[in-house]
Amino acid sequence: MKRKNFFLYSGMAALGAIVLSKLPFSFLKQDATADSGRIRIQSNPYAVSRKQGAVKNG
Amino acid sequence: MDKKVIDITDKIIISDPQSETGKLDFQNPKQDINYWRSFRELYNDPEFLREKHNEFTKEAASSPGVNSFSKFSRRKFLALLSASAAVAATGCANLKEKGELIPYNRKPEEVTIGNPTYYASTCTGCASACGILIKTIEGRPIKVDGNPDHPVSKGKVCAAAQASVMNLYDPERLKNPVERPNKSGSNAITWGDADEKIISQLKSTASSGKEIAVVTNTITSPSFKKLLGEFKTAYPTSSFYSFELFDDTSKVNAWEKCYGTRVVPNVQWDKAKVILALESDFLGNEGNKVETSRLYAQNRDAFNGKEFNRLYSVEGNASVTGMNADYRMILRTDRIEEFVMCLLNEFVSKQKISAYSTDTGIGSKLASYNLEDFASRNNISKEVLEHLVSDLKKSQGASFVSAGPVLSESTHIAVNLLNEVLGNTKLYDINVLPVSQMPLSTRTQLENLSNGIKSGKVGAVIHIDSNPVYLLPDDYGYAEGLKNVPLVVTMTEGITETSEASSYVLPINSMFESWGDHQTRNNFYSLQQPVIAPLYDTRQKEEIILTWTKGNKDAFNRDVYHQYVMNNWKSGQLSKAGSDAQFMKEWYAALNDGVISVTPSNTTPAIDEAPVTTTTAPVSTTPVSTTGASQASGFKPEAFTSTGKSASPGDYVVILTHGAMGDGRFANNGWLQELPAPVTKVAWDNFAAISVQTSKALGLKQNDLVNITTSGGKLEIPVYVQPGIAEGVIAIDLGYGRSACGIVGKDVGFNANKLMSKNGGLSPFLYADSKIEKSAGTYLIVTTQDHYAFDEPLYKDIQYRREIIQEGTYLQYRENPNFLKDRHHKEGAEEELQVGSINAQYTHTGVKWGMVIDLNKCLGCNECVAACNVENNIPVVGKDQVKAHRSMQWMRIDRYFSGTPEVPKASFQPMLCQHCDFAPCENVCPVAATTHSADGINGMAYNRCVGTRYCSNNCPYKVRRFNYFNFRDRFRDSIQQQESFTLMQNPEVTVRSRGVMEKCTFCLQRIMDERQRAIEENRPVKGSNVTTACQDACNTNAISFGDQNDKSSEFYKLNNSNLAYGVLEEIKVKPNVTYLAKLRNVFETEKEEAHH
Repeated sequence: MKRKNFFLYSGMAALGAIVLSKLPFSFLKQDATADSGRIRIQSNPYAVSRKQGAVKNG
Repeated sequence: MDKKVIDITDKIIISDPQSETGKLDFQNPKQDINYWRSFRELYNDPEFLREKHNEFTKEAASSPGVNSFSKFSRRKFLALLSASAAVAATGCANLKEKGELIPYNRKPEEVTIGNPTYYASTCTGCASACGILIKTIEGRPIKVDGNPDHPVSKGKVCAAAQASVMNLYDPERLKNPVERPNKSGSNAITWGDADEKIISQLKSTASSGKEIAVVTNTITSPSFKKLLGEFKTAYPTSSFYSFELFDDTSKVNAWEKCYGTRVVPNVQWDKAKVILALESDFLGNEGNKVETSRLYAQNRDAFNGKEFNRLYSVEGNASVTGMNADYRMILRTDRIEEFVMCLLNEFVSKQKISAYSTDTGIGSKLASYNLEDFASRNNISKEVLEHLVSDLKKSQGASFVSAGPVLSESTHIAVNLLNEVLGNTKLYDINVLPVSQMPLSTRTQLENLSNGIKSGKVGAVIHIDSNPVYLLPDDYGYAEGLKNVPLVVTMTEGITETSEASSYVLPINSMFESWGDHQTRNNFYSLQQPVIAPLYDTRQKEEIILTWTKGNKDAFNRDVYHQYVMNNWKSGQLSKAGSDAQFMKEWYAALNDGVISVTPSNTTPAIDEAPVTTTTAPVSTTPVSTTGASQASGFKPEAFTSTGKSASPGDYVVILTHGAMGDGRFANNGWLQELPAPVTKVAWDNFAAISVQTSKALGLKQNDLVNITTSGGKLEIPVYVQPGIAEGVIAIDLGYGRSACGIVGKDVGFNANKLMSKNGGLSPFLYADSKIEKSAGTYLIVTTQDHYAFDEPLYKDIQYRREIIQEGTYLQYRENPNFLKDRHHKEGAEEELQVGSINAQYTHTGVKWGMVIDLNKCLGCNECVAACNVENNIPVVGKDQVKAHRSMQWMRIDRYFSGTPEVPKASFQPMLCQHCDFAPCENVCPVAATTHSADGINGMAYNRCVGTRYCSNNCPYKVRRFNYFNFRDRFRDSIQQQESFTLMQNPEVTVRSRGVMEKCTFCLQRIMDERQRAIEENRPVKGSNVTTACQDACNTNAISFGDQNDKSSEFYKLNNSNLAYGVLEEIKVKPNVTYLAKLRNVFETEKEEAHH
């Protein structure tokens, strides 16, 4: 490869990388990881659980 | 026993669209079996015979077909797979956000991964407010059973409660508040904005003097009632309407006239030796059936030492109660009042029973009635009537006459008098009384509300989880009137007809996400606690009202109602606790139990407000003398104005009944829609049930559309020719035909509310003088009654009678407890059938699992099927697949008729995998996917199954179910595949997909759980520690499960009792499900009439 071409290709690759990094790929990332639409399971901290067949407290 | 013989060769015009011939061979009714399940079976429909002979129906046997598979080609699939992988690799490379996939960085103390956690709570599906125990796995509620500590439900719940987890995870629940300007459209809005706007409008409505109408279902919570009182203080023009479709109006009004109170006491059904049910389905869907059926069945146990009760039923419809009766008399519903008058005349005037025999006023009203004449005119067996009169007379003070809510007010008054005359008021529970937090609104009050809405007097309407637009008869003009109301707010879990007419729709928490306290009896309170944080942006209805009461949107926080309920208890019933620490200890103990018991005489209110409507005993409690001595009674004889002459023989009578959908609130629950109705076995529809005689008279065939007209309106609906219905009676279930509902329940069935009028007929649910006329076209009703019929011709050379149902009489059993086995011995069946097996018997030395089903206690109610669906992740398949015999329920309740179509007797039999020792399914599986375990379980290895269906073909009990599709994907736009539904699955049970065979596993996951515990505790596995889901659900304890080798267990005694038999024993597959033969408690003279 000629020196001139090397710099040309390197420059184009760097330019391409900069352009790619500026493209809005983040919307894909948001869709895949956003939790606003997902159902979150959370038990209630104030609820009182029991064992099956446990003795009644009265 | 009714000896009426109908000439069944008479041409009845019935055809079945599933029959190739279209017509049945009425000249040749089947001769070789005395049980039948449908007209097709009774009349030897050639296609039905073919179906029985061939294992699979045409639809079921056909290959699913390439057209039914996805159009997606392999090439496209791979292309998209590659593309999506590339996109995922490019765009989703940020791993930081996936921290949430790691569960329990801070694990809740009570949670052990993989172990379930249980919470006691209260079901708010209906006004019964039963105590429930919710099973959660890692925070997800997956199963509901009864709370054993609850004094009413005692560990049992109904099918609707069993299936209620599907309501929690319904993807179509509303997820955020919605504003609907001009009551149309749908604009999402924040809670803050909704609160602000609504509070502002409520304030201006109150200051303008216009009424704020709050419409609710039955209120059972004292805290909520108190809150509504505070709401009224904040908005003084508020008025409250508590409304239920099935409100027992006639019964309550009659009770008020007779006893001066609107609180009808509970009946001690377990103390009734003789029960007469008048169009009363107390074992089906009437009142608190969980409690009633349990108490009833206590006297249907051949081994507990108690005498059997005797159940008489007089009805026009074919109800679960009627089908379980020892004697069933078929009578038009509008003639029941006359029947009661005849009985009264018999006891009061002729037999001079009770002090009322000297009351000339009552005597003169009864003079024109004669029981014998009535029996002749209505084709009722005089012999049976003699038995009834004799039994009621003999069992004074220990019998009960139950009138159904369908009957008129005057009939209820006559029945109250009859119970007074017979001294049956002793059966009313005078210690434990029902408590009503807020009386239900009368029809007049509802009419006033509708008028106020129409006239503009009402400035705001708030519907709290109620749906009056669908439920109120059209002539109230409620829906039309709402258009004039400036502010209409509806709080609901999913869309309803009422939310579609509202200006704001506010999504509310399900019962699994809510706090509450409930009181339905004066001896206990039942607590409700949220077991999961709200799945969506919803709020508890009480939180919404509390926020509005404070007049400030910022008053809301997620703990606001929890604190409110707790503070009420702190200052009320638990105020004696003293310190905060002691209160919290008692509060947590109460939440653990789910129930707080109080003595009925305790005057301390639960909350700092006077308790509502606890009454003193309204009825006489002294024994009644047969000699006519005076009695101390609160009964007001002047209330007795019944004439009994309301019958109009030329017309049809329409009765509107309580079906599986309740008042329609369960319509979007696929599990409930797919449960076959106990008597008709119809799924996914309601219909007009008519008698064989009526179909003949009108020339109507199964599925013909008819127009039915009552004083309330007109409805086009298909007919269903049902054995056992009275001539001239048309019975229709309410709760169907929802026009605004989720995708599962929308437009399923027909809205029979259209037949109701605000003034009602003879009662709100009983319309005489109705018309029926044939309309154009047909509508296919799907019934499972012919599905999985046993293959009679194949085996009839071995034994003519299959003895699938074995019956006797209670007297036979008392005289000779071994009568069943003796009968077999006499008939020589045992000797003839020593055919043996090609396989050697495996000796189960350790645990050998087995099940016993007591047919005396089984009512055919379906609760076991509902519980099995939930426990074992059974998919909903939809109406079209039910028609194709592809429903996936692992249990079915076979309902057999015997007798004639006009006067049938019914027998119910739960049928599930019998886990045969010599299982024919195992021998034919080419890949050994179904095998036998050392503890006697016929297991399925799903990932080994290649779907040949040989096993199903070879199963004599027809209990194997094949996944013709991935039903979760196929049904209703893949709703069962949505994320929320996947959270509902029981992680202990594999979710099956297309091409796999499945069937009952005896709840193997529960057995494994016991095995694990036994290992941890270093002890042998104990059979009595395992209960199956169907067993837990059975209200009457008809199902027992255990170790057949544990000779010390109760299960062993039942399994080896003298009533025990196996279905199809003669084919020597050695089933491990044992049935206890049904004993009918018929009169002494008929004890030899038992058949099998």
